Amino acid sequence: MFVEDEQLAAFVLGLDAQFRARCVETLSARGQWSAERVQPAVDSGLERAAALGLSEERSVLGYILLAAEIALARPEQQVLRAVEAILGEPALPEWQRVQLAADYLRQFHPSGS
Amino acid sequence: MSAVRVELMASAVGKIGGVVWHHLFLVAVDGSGNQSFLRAGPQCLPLESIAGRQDQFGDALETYEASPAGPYGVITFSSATYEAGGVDFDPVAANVPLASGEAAVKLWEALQNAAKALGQEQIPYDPIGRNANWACMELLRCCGAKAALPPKRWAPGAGRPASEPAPHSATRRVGQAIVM
Repeated sequence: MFVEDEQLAAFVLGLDAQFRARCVETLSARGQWSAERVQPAVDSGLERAAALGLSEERSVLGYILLAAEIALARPEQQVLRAVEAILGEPALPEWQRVQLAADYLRQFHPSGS
Repeated sequence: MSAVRVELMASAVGKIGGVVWHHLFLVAVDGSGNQSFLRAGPQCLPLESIAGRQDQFGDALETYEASPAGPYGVITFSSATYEAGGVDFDPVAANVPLASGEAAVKLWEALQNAAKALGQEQIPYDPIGRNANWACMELLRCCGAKAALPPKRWAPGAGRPASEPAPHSATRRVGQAIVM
């Protein structure tokens, strides 16, 4: 089947809308927050994930969940700085960065898991 | 060996984003001061990691065999004398005492048996999940030993629960077609 550029662009937009909805749904399942709070949180998470160079859906979703975990755990500044540094490590694939940052948070701030 | 002391060791092996990470292993000391280690590691390394390396037979690439378990193969355990020049030897590694006296004898034997059993499970090695640190802590959990990590030493994988599934493979990129 031949797909025109416009059709493909529309398809991608649809997938992205689905992905945003999936992020909202996943984050909502982690706590009893109102949709008014979750949706802006997801949007800022998506923005921050893009700034970190995260583009795989699993990495972006993982990052949004990690950000929520951090917000709830309120770890010490030094833990936060280390998590940020690991997320920004350019030598590692993005999924590994997210996984390792979460690992660090959970090791040094166990109540955050 | 008849251990009189067993310790959990954490050796600094690298940095991720400037954050130091540690490799965990176990060391037992006998009555004469001789030390033995018990460690976990990958069965093999990914092809891209061994390019240009030499092994005992020459070019490592020529003897390379891919593992059906994945790029790192399965988790393997080894135990030998802990001495300078040996794998993992680190005179400044942080240590946490686990047992001494009669309890050390029993723990060291139990750890060796647990390593055999866990090795037989053929668990795929995941460098950011079920890795050497996870395996080391899993051995201790299997033996009923509750060990805290040395303070302020990050050991990736060490806190991963035994039942947590391995992360799934690559997914679609945001704004792009499906990538498998």
